[in-house]
Order: sequence, then C-alpha cells, then structure tokens
Amino acid sequence: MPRLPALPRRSAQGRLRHLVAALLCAHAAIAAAHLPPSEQIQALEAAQATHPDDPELLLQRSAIERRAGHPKAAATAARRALRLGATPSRAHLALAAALLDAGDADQALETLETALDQAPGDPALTRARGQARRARGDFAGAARDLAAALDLTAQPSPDDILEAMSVHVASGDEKGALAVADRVRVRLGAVASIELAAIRLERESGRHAAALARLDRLLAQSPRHPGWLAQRAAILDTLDRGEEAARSREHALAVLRLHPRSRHPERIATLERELHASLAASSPPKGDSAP
Amino acid sequence: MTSSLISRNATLVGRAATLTTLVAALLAPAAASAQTITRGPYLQKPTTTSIVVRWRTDTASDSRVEWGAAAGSLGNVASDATVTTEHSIAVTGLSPGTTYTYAVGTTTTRLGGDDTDHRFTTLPTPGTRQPIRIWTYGDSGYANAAHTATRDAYFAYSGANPSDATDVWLMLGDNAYFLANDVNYQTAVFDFYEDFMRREVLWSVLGNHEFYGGNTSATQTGPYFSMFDFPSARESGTNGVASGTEAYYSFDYGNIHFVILDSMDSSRAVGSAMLTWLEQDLTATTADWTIAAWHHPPYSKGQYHDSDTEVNEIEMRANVVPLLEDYGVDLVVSGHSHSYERTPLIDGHAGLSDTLDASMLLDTGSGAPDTDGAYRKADTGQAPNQGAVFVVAGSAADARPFIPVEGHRLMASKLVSYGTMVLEVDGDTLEGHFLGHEGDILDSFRIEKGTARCPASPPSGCLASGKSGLVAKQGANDASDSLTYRWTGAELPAADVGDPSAESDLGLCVWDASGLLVDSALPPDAVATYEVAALATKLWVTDPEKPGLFLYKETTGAADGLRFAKVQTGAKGLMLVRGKGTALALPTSPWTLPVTAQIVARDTGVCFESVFAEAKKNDSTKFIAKATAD
Repeated sequence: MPRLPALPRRSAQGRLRHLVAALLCAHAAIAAAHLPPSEQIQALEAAQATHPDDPELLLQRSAIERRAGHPKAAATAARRALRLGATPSRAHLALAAALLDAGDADQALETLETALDQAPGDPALTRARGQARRARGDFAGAARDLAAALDLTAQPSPDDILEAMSVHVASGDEKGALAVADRVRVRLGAVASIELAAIRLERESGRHAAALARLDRLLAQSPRHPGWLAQRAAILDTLDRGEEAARSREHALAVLRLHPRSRHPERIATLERELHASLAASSPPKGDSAP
Repeated sequence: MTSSLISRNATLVGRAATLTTLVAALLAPAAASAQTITRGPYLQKPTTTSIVVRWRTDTASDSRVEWGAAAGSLGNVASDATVTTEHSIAVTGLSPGTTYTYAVGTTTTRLGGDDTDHRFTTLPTPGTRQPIRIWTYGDSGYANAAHTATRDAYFAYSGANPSDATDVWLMLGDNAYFLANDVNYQTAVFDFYEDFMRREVLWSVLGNHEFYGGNTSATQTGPYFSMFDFPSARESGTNGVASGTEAYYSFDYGNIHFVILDSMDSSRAVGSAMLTWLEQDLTATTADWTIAAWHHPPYSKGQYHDSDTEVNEIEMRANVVPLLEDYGVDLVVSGHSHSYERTPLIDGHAGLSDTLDASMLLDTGSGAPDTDGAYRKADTGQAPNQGAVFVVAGSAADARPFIPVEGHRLMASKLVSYGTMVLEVDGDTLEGHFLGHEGDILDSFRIEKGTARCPASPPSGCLASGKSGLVAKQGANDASDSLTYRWTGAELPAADVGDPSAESDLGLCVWDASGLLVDSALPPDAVATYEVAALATKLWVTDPEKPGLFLYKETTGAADGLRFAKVQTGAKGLMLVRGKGTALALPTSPWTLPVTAQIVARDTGVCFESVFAEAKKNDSTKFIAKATAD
C-alpha cells in the first residue's frame, strides 16, 4: 500500500491564509467552522473583503457573532443580509435571534411578526415568535406559538416539546401542557423525557389515575424499569391500592436483584433501600394479622 | 405503439441489429429498460426480526424487496406501491441473528441482488454473548487517498469478506465534508462504501458538519435525517427506552448497549430531554457492556478542537460523562479532532484538564495486555464508577497535529495518524485497536470485566476456619478435573457473606508455595440472565425455614468451572464450593506445601481461609488435605 504524503504543517497565519483562500469558494465559509470564534470572524472578514455583498457570508457572520457572544454585531450582519437579498425568513430568524440575545424582545417580536406576515405558518419563525413572547412575559401567547410550531413540525424534538409544556405551565395552563404531550405522543409514541414531565404535572395536580395511565404506557415499553415500577407503586399508594403497590415494589426489587448490588449506581442503591423501607412500612407486623 | 414501431422499423434495411435490440428492450418490462439504482441498496434500523432496505433510483417506480435464506431461493416478498425514487422497504418476520440474501427492484423487475453481495443479518437476541466486532471512526468525510487507505486497511484486516467480519459499523459524525449535504454524502459515503453498505448496517452520530449541511435536530429534517433511519422508539433492542428522536437513540447488539448522543444540536443541559432520556435508558439496560458515542470528545487537544475551550466538549464532559460513569459506561468513542487520542481507565474527570488528579486515574497503564496488562473492572455488567476508556478516533480521512504539540496530558496514547478503531467484544472482554492506514495496529488496549479475581499471593486478614478440607482430583483429561473446598467449624456472620443469591459473586482462590493455582468464581450472570417471570428457575435456592442457608447448583448441564456452592451463616458456619471441568484450569499435582485456599465474597470483600501445611495425599492424581484450627 503506498504511503500517504506527510501531513502538512501550517502556522496560525498560514492556516488563516489557507482559509481565506478557501472562503473564496462557494460555501467555503463553513471551512472556518473548525476555528475558534475569533479566528472564524477574522476569516469571514477576510472573505467579506472580497465579497462584501454576499448575503450568505453575512448570515454566517451573524451566526458566528452570536456564538461568540456578540449579539449586536450579529444583528448588524443579519440586517445587512436582509437588505442584500438573503432569504427573508432566514434573515429575519437570524435577526430575531440576535435581538433576543441582546435582550430586545420587543424588536425581536416585531421582526418575527413581519417575517410571519410574509411566510405564515413557518414553523421556525413561529417557534421563535413564541420564544420572543415568552421573553416579554406573554406566556399565553408564547404557549400558543410553541404549540403551533410543534404541530407544524413533522418530527419535533423532545427539547422543543418540553419547552412548549413548560411555557404552558408558566401561563397557568397545565391542561394545555398535557395536551401538548398527548398530541406529540400520537406521532412519536411514549417518550420518557416527555411522559415523565407529564406524569409529574398530573401528580402535582392530583390526577393520579391519569399519571398511572401514562406510567403504564411507559412500562409497556420497558416493563423492567425499576424506577418506573417504584414510581408506579407510589402512585398506587396514593390511589389506596396498597396491595398492587406492594406487588409493584416487589417487582422492582426482583428486577434489581437481577443485578448484583455491587453493580448498582448510588441512585439505584438508594431506590432499592427506599423500596425495602416502603415494603416494610406497608407490611402488617407479625402476629398482627386479622383473625 | 409498440407494435406499430416494430412494424415501421422492420421495413428498414441495414438496421436489423438496432431493431433486435429495440424489440428486446420494448418487450422487457417497461421500468427495467431505463431505471438505474443510483444509491444503495443499503441497510438501516435492524431489529431481531426486521430490517429496512433502502435504495435510490434515477426514475420513480414502486418498490419491492425479495429475500430468502440463500441466493437463488428468495421466496419472500415485501413491496410498496408508492411511486418514488427513494425506496424504503421494511422486511419483517425474520429470525434473530440470521443472515439472509435479498434483491431489490420494482414489482415487475429485479434491479439488483440475489447474490452474495446482497445480504443482511438481523440483530442477535439482546444479551447474547458472542464475539462482536465494531468498526468505528469519525470525520471520514473526504473521499480522498487517506480515507481510501484507512478503509482498505480495515478490509484487509477483516479478511476476504469484511462485512461478514463486521457486526457493528458506526460513524462518529462529520461523515461527509463540507456541508454534509446529500451530494457530499453520495460521494463520501454511498459511493465510497457502495459494496460494503449492501451488507452492513451503517449507524451514525451527528457531527458539526451534518449541522452545517442543513440538518437540524429540532425538526429532524435535512439530508441526514432523510437518508437514515435510526431507532427512536426502542426498536433495535429491549434494553433501553425510546428517545423519541433520531438525533440520539440507543440500540443493543448482543451483550452491548450502545448509547448514541447528539453533542451538536440537542440541549446538553442537565434536565434536558436528552439527559433525562439518557438516565432512564441507562436505568433500564441490563447489558454487560455500555458503549457511548458522540461527536465532540470530552477530552482532546486536537487542532482546532480543545476540550478545555469548546462549549460542546465542556458540556458533554460536565453533564453527560458523570451520568454515564454512574451507570458504569465502559467506553466512549468520539471524533471531531482529526487525531487519535485514548485515555487510560479513568473516572470522575469532569473539569478542565488542569483539574486532573491521580484519584481519577484508575489504571495508569496502557491497557495493553502484553505489556502493562489489561484494564480490569471488578464487576461484570454495569459497574458504576469502575472506569471507562475515552477514545477520539477522528482521523479516518485527515490527520492533524495536537495543540499544544504534546497533546492532552490525560492520554495513554495519542497519535497524529490516519486510522480507524476496531473494537472486539467477547463475553467479559473488550479489546480496542487503532488500525493505521497501512494496516498496522498502532495502539491496543483491553478491558476485562468481572476480574475481581485472585491476587498472586494470598492476602491476609481472612476469617480462618475451624475445620476445613481441600480435595483436588486430576481426571483423565481437563474436562474431568474436579475440586472441592470446605470451610467450616467457625462462626460465619451473615453480614460477611452478604446475599449470595442476589450477588452470585463467590470466588475461589488456591495457592501453593509457588504461587496461584486456582482462580475461579461462580458465573456472575447466573442470576442476571433470567427474566423476572422466570425467577423461579434461578440457580440460587433459599429456604425461609432455614434462614442463612444459600444453595447454588448448576442445573443446565454446563458443568464446567465452579458450579456448586453451599453457604450457611451463623454460629456453625459453612462454606462449600465445588467445581469441575476445563474452566477450573486445575494445575497438575503434586503441589508445593503449604497450600492456602480462600473463598472470597466479592461484594463484602470478606475472605474465608484455610492453610494446609500437610497433605493426606499429594501426587499426580490427587491432592487431599484437611486442616483443624489450633
């Protein structure tokens, strides 16, 4: 097999010159992405010196300035990109994100309203408007937008779903938060990160039967999950279903016994102790059984 | 139209050959004459009973996959009437760990396959212990000379049929430069691995360049999410839980649980959806091994990528690594830095590189079995905080120097060299090899689990017996060798033994004056391999009417190694273990007196000892000795 050529070694300046040259190619701004933000900005400035009116470079500049913690510079670059013909929805989104970073939620919202007038139903813009509204303290409006954005997205991320749920809760609409969880479950199935948040809400609101139904859906997927079995027992206790609770705890302990104690993380060992303690507390003392 | 065209052309003189060709083409099914496969076929989302076969064609048609046990006998068909150029067929009703031959095409025409180049293998049943080879690397996105060399080095390493030798193929992100868009992927992945992809499932993590290519985890849109199918709903294994997204997910291959994380575009914060899912997933798994993969390395000083300064690396190290370590992760593989960097066995290093201290280095050696010795983790399965090895394997297609040139201080091995990572897992052993582009193994390490085994000489501080006996019989062959050790005549506190029926962790060590003779233990998975519903069949037996009595008896017929134990705690304590067969590795006698035997309860760390200064019999057939305390 032939040897490959020796690795080229470049100084920092050499690297920069190399990148500037590369940046003159279409899309080559991405090459700068391997550099620290300050060097990325230098590289982009060099490229912009040759292509000052390239809206794509300006949007790249806006994104890098945001990552570097320079929201005002990011907003300036996004505004210029917009003037120079960048795709309006992308440029508005970049501008709104920069304005939000800068703490100017009012301007961000105004920008997004304009953008959504031009591109109604755009999920990214809708979600961003929800974030702007939340930043302004309009939780109800934010909840509407974030939920709408989820509905507009075929496969929303669990993070975005949790964000929408939390904003609903902040607006006092817990049922709305649970409705978000239910709507996405139709598309994604029962996802632990979402369902556990929903279960917490159900329990905090005293809807223990509904919490149990959600937990059972999770357990249908992973029937040996000791943490879920333990939580199921706690809910059953609340529902005065002590015998079922004990069985669920015994089931959890049986699962834990499948693995030696030495293999248990501390939090699982704690769970095991709690299960034993709960079982002991729920068992009638010896000789105290009913006649 | 066909007949009139033939009729008209049939009158033309001197065009007979052209006519013949035309007629043949026209009489063939319409789609076959024009349609060409431009991508694949390639394989996705395997389960124990299904797999997804995908391919792209230049013109749209319906889709069909035929499959069967061997070429020439494809008796099964799955089809989809949707007319498309992006074909995706889920083949179902398969058997676990089974290889099938397949062909793809339309409902009327076979476009390719039904030969040895078109085969797929379903996942083995989760928990199956079998030799498993994993080929993994990152940043392979150039279809250049270096990538060609690293690919071909692995193919040469794997012998005549690399796909048969490969069980898991995992790319660590930045799989296609620069934008990781559809065109880049076609060049750097689908064309580059065209043959290999027909037979091997490609698993992948998201890199930063995938993000630049228009992919976004928030919506799971973009070319990456379009071309791949990953198990977001726990389809590929029963050990984890559903992630709800293809940006991060888990799957099982045999006795390995793979956790694939998104270090680029999903929140890495504590309490985020990804970390919440991760903890639930790790709580659910019962696999022997946990291997995690993501793009941004938690420990690296690669050119451009310093894990002390890049936020992705810092957050993964601070938020994700401790959680993984709590649940006993064994290996973490990443890319991003275009170099090879590999830590020793470490735990608890969540801060910047200058916070590293000796307590975090659980084994400072190289892990090479033939020099420093393998890394040893005392317990099998999830072994919390018993150490993990972190690998950066980002030089499949490009290699760049470290900054500073000496690299990260943590590393047991660091190389600026093209190469890929080959992992071999067999039972409780994992070997990692960095395979250079010229076919040389440039670094190796081994992790052995369940190695809470006997030291070279008897440790002190064990509980002495009142009476004891040791009988070793040399059989006609190794399979009929046997050994029995009885410790009795003294108090055996229950706390010193723990719960053997839960732990199954008793070990037996025997030394003579020249060193260690026997190092054996009860199979640690004797309990763990049984489902809850089948707990009654487990090998340990206890009797509520006989408190403190634990009886272990191997009943499956696999009487090899330590297979019988009896423990009675209390004032009249008893420990009895018995073994048989090749796995005992019983050395030939006579042995050099004195002979020391110890039973070790691994979870409590307490040992139970007898020293035999004299032997009743000590020849080439037997060693028999009794001892009574003074």
